[in-house]
Amino acid sequence: MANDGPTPTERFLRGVIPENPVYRQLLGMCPTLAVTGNMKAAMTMSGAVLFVLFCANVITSLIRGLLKPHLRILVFTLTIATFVTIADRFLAAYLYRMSKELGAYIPLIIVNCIIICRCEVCASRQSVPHAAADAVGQSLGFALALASIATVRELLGAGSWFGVQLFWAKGTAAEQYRWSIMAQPPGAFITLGLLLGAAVWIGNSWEKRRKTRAAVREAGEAD
Amino acid sequence: MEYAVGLILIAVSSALINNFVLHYFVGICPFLGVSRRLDTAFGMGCAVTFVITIASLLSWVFTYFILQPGAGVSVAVARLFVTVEDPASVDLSILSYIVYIFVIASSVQFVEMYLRKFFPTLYKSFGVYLPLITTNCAILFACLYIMQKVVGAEEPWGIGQALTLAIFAGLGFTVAIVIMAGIREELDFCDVPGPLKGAGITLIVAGILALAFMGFAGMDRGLERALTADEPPVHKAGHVPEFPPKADVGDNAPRPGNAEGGPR
Amino acid sequence: MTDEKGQSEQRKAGGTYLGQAWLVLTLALVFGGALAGVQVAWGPIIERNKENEARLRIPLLLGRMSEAQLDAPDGEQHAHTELDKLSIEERMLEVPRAGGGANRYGLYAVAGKATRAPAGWVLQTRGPGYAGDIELLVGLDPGAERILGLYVLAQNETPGVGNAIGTAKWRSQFADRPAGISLSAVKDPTTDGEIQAIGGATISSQSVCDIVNRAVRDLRKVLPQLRDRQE
Repeated sequence: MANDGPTPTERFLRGVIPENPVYRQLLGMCPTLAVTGNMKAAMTMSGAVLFVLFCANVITSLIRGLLKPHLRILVFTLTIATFVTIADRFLAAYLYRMSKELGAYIPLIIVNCIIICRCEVCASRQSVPHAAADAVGQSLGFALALASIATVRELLGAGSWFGVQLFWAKGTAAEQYRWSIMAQPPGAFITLGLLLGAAVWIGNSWEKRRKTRAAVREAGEAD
Repeated sequence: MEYAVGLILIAVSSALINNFVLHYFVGICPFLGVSRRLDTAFGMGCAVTFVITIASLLSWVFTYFILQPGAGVSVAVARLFVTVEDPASVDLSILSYIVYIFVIASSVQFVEMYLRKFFPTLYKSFGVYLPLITTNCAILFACLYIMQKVVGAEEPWGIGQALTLAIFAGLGFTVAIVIMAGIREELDFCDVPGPLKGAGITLIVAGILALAFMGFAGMDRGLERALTADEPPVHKAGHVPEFPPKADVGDNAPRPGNAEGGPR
Repeated sequence: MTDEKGQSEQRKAGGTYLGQAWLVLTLALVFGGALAGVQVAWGPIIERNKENEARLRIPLLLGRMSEAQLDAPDGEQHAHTELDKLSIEERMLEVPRAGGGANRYGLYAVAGKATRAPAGWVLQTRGPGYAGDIELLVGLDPGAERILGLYVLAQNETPGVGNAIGTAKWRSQFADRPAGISLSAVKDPTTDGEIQAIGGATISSQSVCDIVNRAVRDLRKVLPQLRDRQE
């Protein structure tokens, strides 16, 4: 199989913003809403996704020559499930409290559309460096998306960031101003909805600016 | 009686109070993708309920008899090869996730074949969304929830509880997705700001729905107290009821054998 | 001609199915080996983590350590040192209920290792909270006369509001309370039987009191039998 298609660097850069898994592809919504109550949980989840995506992409890329259409999805699923089990056990052994807080959302990485999608679109068609760069890029994009939502929710809902209390501390009079709905399901939905709208708006205005600049350049060349 | 009350509580909890979509955030992808029209939403809800029930049933069977530490079938098979002193040491639970995902994939495959044979028009209307149910977090979440309640629990769930959870979780999902479809059909006639069209406004509406469903919280405590004959705790300010002194060995005192159980 | 083609196609199809199966089987074997390795390497650590959750809190619950000491960087070490001075017996406790059925508790019977004198009781119990179950550890003195401490193992209460039942400050209200009185959560506590409810989370606070009351009441009921067993 020829290595045509995006280069590893392109794969990496695309995954961060242009093809951001949450804001552009709208994949992996379940963990995005569930673990973004605070930054620590969000970053632990991103780390787990990075590990699983990287290993699954690399393994899939190594065996891509042997994959036949019928059993493709079966092989992807088996690989992903194994690495998710390893990640889950690792967290239970060395980060026990965080593992309990994340609960069932770590095993849910198995059905996270991001990973199956990347295996299908990139790893099963290109070589290992491409697959690895793609995995790192997409995970970075995922981490940025989670961080944006978790920052909003933790700052508004608890007044802290990464567990460090910045304002609205417990026991002070200011505690009543905490917007505690942000720490609960409705806050998650509304935050993601508004941030998604913001992302679409930013994307549209960039597109418009790019097109005007291209049109101006063309008009300049035509003269 | 206590068993039936337990089932009712599980049903109410998984359908309304801890709604899978609006409280546990699972099953969001079809919730956002298929909730445009009422009939497709209802069809998706029914399909998900069907698959959740089959998958949970199978995964409970696997967990209870094969995967959990000290499970009957595994210990029996292990005894054929090695001497097993402590049944709890035979522990296949590390294979749980792999088993569950394959159970789910097979269930979806089975439902697909069934629909293609007996309801071809329905099958065609689903299109690509039917095989996508495999990646629906809600089903795997139901299996994981049941695993949590079976492995290492003081009162492990039986097949009745697992089935109740599955069916009513699916019903709760259907209720949520049908409500969302109804709202979205109305939203088509509204002036939604450009960037929020599609996924953005759907998520905000889902947030308001979640807010509404939060009103169900506490319903299970009220139900439990209404259905069981437990003594309601007395808590009026200033009231200082004394407990019976500890030397009281009345009719409720346990027999000597009761105050001890096996090692934890 | 077409027949030969059909036959060769069939043979190829059969061949590829077998060909594909060996890949899946090999992968299954490799991954199975990896998982077995993970189980052997990390399984014991995970078991220890689960046990420690409750055990490490026993010195705290019996008033032998303070929260500040446990939260310090060497808190776990300190707890282990204290635990080494104690001998702990774990049991399941079942106490029949008035309406039928039974209340189940995990009971830790704690005694001094050297002196063999009873050091206290720790009960692990769970009950309904506002949103889901609350799992608690309650520490009592050997005579079940005073509650020495409380620890929340698991809760799903409202974040930012009912969540506060897990904080050390709120829980410290349960240290050194008489065990013969039913506790209740009120706005302005005056007597021994009243504790400060969390503003906006009266149900969570009262649920904790109900769970503690029930556990303490049941322990006091069966205390004579337990003490006989101890001797």
